[in-house]
Amino acid sequence: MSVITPAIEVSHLTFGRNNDILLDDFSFTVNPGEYVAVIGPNGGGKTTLLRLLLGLQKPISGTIKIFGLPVSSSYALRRIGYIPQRGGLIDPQFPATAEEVVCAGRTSLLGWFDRFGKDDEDLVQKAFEMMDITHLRHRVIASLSGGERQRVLLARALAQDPGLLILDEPVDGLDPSSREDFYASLKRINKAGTAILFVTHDVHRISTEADSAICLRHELVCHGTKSCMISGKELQNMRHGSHKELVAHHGV
Amino acid sequence: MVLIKNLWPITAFNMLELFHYDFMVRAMEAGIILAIVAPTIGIFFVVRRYSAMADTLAHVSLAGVAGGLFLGISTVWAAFIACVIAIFGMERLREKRILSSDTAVSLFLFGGLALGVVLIGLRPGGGVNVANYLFGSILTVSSEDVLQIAIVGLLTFITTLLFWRSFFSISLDEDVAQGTGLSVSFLNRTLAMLGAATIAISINVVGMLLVGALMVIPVLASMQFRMGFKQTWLFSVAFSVVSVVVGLILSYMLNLASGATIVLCSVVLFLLVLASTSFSQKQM
Repeated sequence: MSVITPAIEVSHLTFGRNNDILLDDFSFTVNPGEYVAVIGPNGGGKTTLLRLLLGLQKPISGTIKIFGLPVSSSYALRRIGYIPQRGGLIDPQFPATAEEVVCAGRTSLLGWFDRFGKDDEDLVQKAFEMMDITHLRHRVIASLSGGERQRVLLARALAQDPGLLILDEPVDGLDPSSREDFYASLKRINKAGTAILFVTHDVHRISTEADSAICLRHELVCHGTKSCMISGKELQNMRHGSHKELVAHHGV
Repeated sequence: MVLIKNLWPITAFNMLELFHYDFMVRAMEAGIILAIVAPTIGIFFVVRRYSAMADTLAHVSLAGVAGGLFLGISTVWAAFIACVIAIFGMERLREKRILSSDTAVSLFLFGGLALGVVLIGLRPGGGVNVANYLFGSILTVSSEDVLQIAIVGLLTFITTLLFWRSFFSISLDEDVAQGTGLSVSFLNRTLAMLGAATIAISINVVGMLLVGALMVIPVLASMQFRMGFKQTWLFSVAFSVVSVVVGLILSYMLNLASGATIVLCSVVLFLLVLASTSFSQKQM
């Protein structure tokens, strides 16, 4: 019987800063092809968790493995496609075309002396087609709408041919139509076999989009299917309610 | 009136006459090399908002030049070494959280300038015109300087092209670059060192106070066209070459500091581009 290597395997993860514990003894796994939402109140540690998964911060204790490899390994990171919070990091005036941005998805996979070959070109083309943005290929990113720019960033992550996509509140600030397009794109990507972990405040969409949810507030409140499909009001209440109350309420 | 009197005889014939002077040929050779290299590195400094870093390295380079003169070694290499020491010093202070990034940059900027002036004053025999290093002087460019500028310039250019994709990725989004397996701290240091090399080879022609301008202004001018990254780079190199060639000719004809004249030419080009792009946007 073959054993499946999880896309993400987090065990006993603890992270803190300035004597404050932000994530405490946290364990979970995400399997290949799984679609997982991460929810929780503001300041509950969602973005911190993503930064730990991307190796951008180091935990106090515990381990993180990506497809069986420690997250400190660049081979592990190359299997992750990452979409940061919308409008967060890319300067909209950055002088680049959509094509140049999507091609950047191949950078970490190419050696310094490697040429951008046919395989790379094919993956870039496939990413454009999958996101349905081939017509934007030669446009500069400054001329794109927020929704178009977000799809370009998703295409950049896809050009990497990742086994795992990590997204940080990817639909925040998008208009309803762009939001629907973006969710539909994520579904297509997931159906093609890519595991997805996304942080969201959009709790109403979790049950329709994700296979399961991770609910956290400095520690793992719950991780599962129906047990974590909580309402927006309950999410707000998490700020004040105790861990035990929530666990009891959701029967985890 | 004096300006017009000095400029009117510029014809194709007597422009070619300029090249009968060896110092002018050397200045043109050195100038064109750095006109290609400066915006090639400069474009990454601009999009990463590293302009303050370029200024700091330029100020630190004066300490290197002074050290080179003091020890009787190449001022180009001495300036480069001083900049590399500053890069690692600033990084260390920031990593150890002794100082924040901007205060570490200020410390090295003022410290480097002060050390440079003091070392030049202490140089046995004196006789060094600090203004030549501050603002550039085409008369100070020797054949050895041109050779060094060509070697360091070529190495800097080739290394930048080798790292082009990685520099582009970290400029686009540092967290995504690191989160997908690129070594951002290594690439940042490499980029800063290539900036240091560019500054070191620019001091004689443009001067340390103005070298940052040659790295930044042609790039800002080409960014007005809102093109892709490679096109923006190619246009910035073209603007830079035009600024250097026209600036050197004008500095010779009008007996002006070469660095200041080159930078003024690039500013005029920037304003022309800005006016033309604004006009064409209004027409649309």
